[in-house]
Amino acid sequence: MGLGYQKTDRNAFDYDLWFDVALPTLALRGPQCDLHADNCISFIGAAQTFGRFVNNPFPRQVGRFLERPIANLGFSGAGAEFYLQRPALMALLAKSDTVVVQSMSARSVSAGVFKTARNNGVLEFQAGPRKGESFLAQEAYRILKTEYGDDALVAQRKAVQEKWLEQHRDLASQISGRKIFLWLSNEAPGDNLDYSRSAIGQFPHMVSAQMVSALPEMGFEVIECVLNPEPVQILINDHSHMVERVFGAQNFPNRPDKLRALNVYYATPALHDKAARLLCKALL
Amino acid sequence: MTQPLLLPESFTLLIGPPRSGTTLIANTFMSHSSVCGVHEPYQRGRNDAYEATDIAAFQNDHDLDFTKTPNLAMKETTTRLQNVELSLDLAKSAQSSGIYTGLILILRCPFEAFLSQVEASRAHWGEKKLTEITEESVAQFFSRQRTTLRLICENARRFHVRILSYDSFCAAPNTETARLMALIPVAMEPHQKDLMPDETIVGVADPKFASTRGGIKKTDRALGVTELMATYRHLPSVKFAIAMRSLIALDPKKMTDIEKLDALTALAL
Repeated sequence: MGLGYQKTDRNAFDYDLWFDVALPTLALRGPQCDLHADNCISFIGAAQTFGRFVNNPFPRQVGRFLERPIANLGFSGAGAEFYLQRPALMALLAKSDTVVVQSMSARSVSAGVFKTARNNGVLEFQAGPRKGESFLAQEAYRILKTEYGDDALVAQRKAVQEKWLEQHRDLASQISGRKIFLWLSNEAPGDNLDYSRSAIGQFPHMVSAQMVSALPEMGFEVIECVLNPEPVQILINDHSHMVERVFGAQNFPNRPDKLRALNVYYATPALHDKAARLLCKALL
Repeated sequence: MTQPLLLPESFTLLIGPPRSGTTLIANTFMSHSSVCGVHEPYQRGRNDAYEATDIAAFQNDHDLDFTKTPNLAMKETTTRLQNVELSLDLAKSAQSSGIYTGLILILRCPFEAFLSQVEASRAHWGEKKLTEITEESVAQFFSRQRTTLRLICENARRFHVRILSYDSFCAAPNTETARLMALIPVAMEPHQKDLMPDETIVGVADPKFASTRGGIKKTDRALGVTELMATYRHLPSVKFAIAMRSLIALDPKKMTDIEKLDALTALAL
């Protein structure tokens, strides 16, 4: 999880990872904070909440602006089930004053032919010719489309969308404090479902506008944070200030050379800044 | 044709004042299966005037092979200013060779460190330099700490920095070890919780290696610390030590390592 990002990105970003006694196996984004503080705002989500490729992720900005304790509980690839399966995390959420739930991809959901593995970013086939094999989510869905067929893909999308809603309902029922759902994307809800470019659409993958509209009845306040177009982020070495090829050829042989020093997927500092402003406005 | 040296993937300098838990913490860090450790090369080599600061020469001198242990760690204390200068130069050499370079600054209440040093000098080492608590020995000890810390602070921002207090480590050795290992980054291994390194790393018998497997025995020196501060607080170097003691005691959840480094730099300057 966080260790993987630190390893890949360490010349450009120091995530200052730390471990809490209550969660000794989970690498948390630094700086250290008191997860059990009164009046705490907890943030859950994937790499965007963790703050990959940013020095000042939106949870930290919110804490500073509002002068309130925060707990950044973002983990790479996480979906709602990542939290639901971990009682220690759910206990923290249950006693938080406010919980901000970042829009998490429906690809990080165990349903249909897939079961999530490790963190939720890896999927294992549960049926068919690839049964038992694991792939990164994007690749797993590509295989599903090419080898299992379009009907299987459509059925899979429907299965994970239903499960996504069920998991968010479960999540909401276990959070007694204020609940905010943060839509964080380059696309507005619904516009992220262009399946012509990718089998799972754009981030948050396969989460539709209809699904988002079902969240208020679960108790979520919905905040939409969209930045489009989002400027490409050039990755810079934080000590030499030279362009840093974070995605080196040795570990990322399939990545095009021109993209080795660019962030073209994760939320950029500009999107984090916008999210922080919107959240502060809502929480003030 | 000779093969070019295989350089390490990372270099971590663990450094702190003497009697601050540097050995215990370094041993724990170095007991990771991917870490190759060197203890106090400049202090141990002082009689031979060992001063190599080129990373390739250092590797050669210590016969280091990074094939199986790709992360190099080195521990040194601030006993001598020259040791600090050489250690920092070695870290700079590693960095300029393209090696990911970290610095872990280990701190402890300076008065506890002083009292521990006096006790160890009297009981174990037969060193006659610091066996008595006098105005001169107190002033000299803290002045030296200030000088060496200033040098570290002036250079620390070149590297990826972590600050660790000995008390925080004793209170939560597992999570603090995991935090330090994440700097490289590697996941902490279960045996590191034993706080007892392999004997080949420890080397010669020395009372400072006498940590108990799985636990840390701390001596309560609260009374001695209070008395020391009250008696010598008129000394400028003791005023510095009192401020440093307060800084070290601050909850790491209230102040980031970089903020702490800023405060320490201002203090040392």
